[in-house]
Amino acid sequence: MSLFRSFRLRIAALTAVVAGIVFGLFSIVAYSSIHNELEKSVDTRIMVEARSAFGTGLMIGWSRMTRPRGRDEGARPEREVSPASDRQTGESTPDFPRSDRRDTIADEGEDDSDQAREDSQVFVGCMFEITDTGRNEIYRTKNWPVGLPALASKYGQGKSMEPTEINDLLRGLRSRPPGGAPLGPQREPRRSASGEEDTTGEEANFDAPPAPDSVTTPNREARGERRPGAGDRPGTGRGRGRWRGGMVLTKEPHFHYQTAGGERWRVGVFATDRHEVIVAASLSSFTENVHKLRSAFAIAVPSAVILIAFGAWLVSGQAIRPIRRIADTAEKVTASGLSQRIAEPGTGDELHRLTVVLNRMLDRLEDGFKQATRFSADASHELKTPLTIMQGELEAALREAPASSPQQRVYVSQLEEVTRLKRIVSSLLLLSRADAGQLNLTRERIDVSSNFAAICEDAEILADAANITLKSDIEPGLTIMGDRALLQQVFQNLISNAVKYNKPTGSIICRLSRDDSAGNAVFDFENTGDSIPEEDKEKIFRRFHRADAARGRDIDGFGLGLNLALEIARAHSGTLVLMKSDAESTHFRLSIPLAESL
Amino acid sequence: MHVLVVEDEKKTANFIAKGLKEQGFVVDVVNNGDEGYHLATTEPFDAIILDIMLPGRDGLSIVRNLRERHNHVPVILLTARSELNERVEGLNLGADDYLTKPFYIEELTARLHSLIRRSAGESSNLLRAGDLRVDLVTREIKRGDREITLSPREFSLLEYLMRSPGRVLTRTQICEHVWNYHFDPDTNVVGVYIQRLRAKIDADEEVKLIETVRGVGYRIKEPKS
Repeated sequence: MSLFRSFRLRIAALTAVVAGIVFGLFSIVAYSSIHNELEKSVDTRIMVEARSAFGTGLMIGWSRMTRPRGRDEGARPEREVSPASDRQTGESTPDFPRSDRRDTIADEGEDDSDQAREDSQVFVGCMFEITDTGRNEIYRTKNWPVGLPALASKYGQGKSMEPTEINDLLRGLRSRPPGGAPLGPQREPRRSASGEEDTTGEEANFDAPPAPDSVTTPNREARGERRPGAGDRPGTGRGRGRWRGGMVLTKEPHFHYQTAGGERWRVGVFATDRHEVIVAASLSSFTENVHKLRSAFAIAVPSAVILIAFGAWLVSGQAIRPIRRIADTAEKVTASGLSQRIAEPGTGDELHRLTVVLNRMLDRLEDGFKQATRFSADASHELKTPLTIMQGELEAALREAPASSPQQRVYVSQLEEVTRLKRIVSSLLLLSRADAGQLNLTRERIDVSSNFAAICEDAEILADAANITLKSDIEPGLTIMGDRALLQQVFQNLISNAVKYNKPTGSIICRLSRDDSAGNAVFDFENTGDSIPEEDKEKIFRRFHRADAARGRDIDGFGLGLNLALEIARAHSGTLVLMKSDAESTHFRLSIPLAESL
Repeated sequence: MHVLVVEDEKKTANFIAKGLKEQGFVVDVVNNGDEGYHLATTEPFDAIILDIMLPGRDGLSIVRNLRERHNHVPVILLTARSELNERVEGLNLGADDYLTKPFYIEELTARLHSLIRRSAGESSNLLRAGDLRVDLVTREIKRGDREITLSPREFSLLEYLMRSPGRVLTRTQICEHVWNYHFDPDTNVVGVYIQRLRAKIDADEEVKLIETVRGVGYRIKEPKS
């Protein structure tokens, strides 16, 4: 999760999520509408097939009336008994009317082209199943998948026919006028042109060539022949007038999906008064398209989302660059004082405003801070004059008083208090300078090894008196550029702390070594004694903090020592850290850059 | 020796004058810069103690003007600030030393002595107390005929004590002068060093020179003259 600490990454992730949702929804909508379109196109294909199979009549009674076009009036039905090619069943061929030509013309389109289309492609993609209303006979395009449609299966296999035969069968059907009544005797056996007779009773439903009173014309042409031209158009205005050939649907066709033979099929059911024609189109190519579509989406959507997320990452990087600059400056403010200002982008936008506001805030902070430090500098300065006088007069009085007299002791103790006060004041002054970033160092080259050794020597005396053993381990020849007096103050402070907070018969180790990797002189101060409580480990570097308030004045000092030491270390570009403090020992480490590494 | 003290704060001026007089200096005190400059240019002083912040002419400009007139009288600047640039500027302008307030008068006299010694030549490089002689230049120490070797810190402790023979120096004063103030005043570093010094100087001697003033401090017995 820490990855998302980055603003940029969060923006990129958020954008990706949003884009993912949008694209996801979009692709669902697009997918489903394309799917619908494809489905419709399949339906349309079925419709087209159906229409060319059924002729104009398809339109009658279903969606719209035929156009009042004279030449289309009335088809010329030609009847021919279908030579049911399938003889396995032994059934006689029902008197499916056959027409060797397609004389019912779809409303639109030229006769010729229609015919051409029929020749070339009728039934290529679709399969037909034709049954009479009683479902006594079933004709199917061969290879009709088993079990499609389910309803038909109870009639057995049905008769398998070549597409052309089916075509012929349909042609016959559509040449018969709809409705039984006007067509005359229904049960009259038909005699087919091929000489086969229909003797079965079942033929009833198919029988029929109805000889529509006015329209019936003998089949004048041999099967397979086409009669081009309008001259052969059925006569106009005769008979019922409304039937112009083709089959008349009695129900709105309905479509559904079905799976059979391992494939999905779109099945259209067309019902006329006497027959039910079922058109099935394989969805294999459709499914293939849908699969292509689906994989296109599966590739396009994630890659678009990734691209967009990447773009958002780039753009947000641009957008937060000024913020980063502000953060950098703020870091500098923390590190090197309040005089830093953020460069204003000058764009006049929100970030510009933020910068201006921040700078104004820094101005005020700096003012306030300067005032505060100036105050403490002035105050400690003002305190020095009375201190000077007190000290001077006490000193004079001390000299005048009789040696070892009670007065002299009083003066001595007062002088000590004045000295303490004096130190507090000068420490405060130093700290206020450090706060103002003006802790000016009188830098000189210092042989810290010998300097530190001398201080350790003094400390040994201090330690001896307190029954503490002090060991020092000092690497010779280290030099640093620093302020002699201030550094000495730091050393003395740390060592005297080590003595003060030690235990009886404890020990101190003072070590000076060279840290080549960082180019530092490293001063270690380790002492035995009580450990610093965990909660105090941060606080000990604060001003006027004492490790244990309860110790009171048993241990001298005024709680500025470590803070001052820290400030002095910082002014030397060094560090002062509490390495550890446990029951065993307390270990402070001061690191100051070596002269050669500056 | 004649010393001019230019200090506008009267009480400060008083205790300086008093302390110096006790050391045998002849002291003139003035309270403003113009007057101080006038006296400094008209009368020969052995040394001038000059406050920097003064009404009228300030301490720094007095030093500058004196040096411009090739007057090389030793000058000690007194400053309430320890601002680095002020100190540096003072020393650059030709001041010989500086002291930051508050200071011990013993420190002032010690510095004054060393300044005067420097400007007066070698004659005063020898400090004496009884049969103890300390050569500040060669750092040779002799008690009678016996040569004594001291560590640098012991040497500066002895020197400080011998500057003011007969006067009690408190541990705090000693600590500030010898150790540059930063140990806590009630530590006994001073006591330990005094003991070491005694072991080297007074051991086996009939006359003990280093004396403890109980509850106050230490002093060198005044040589019997």
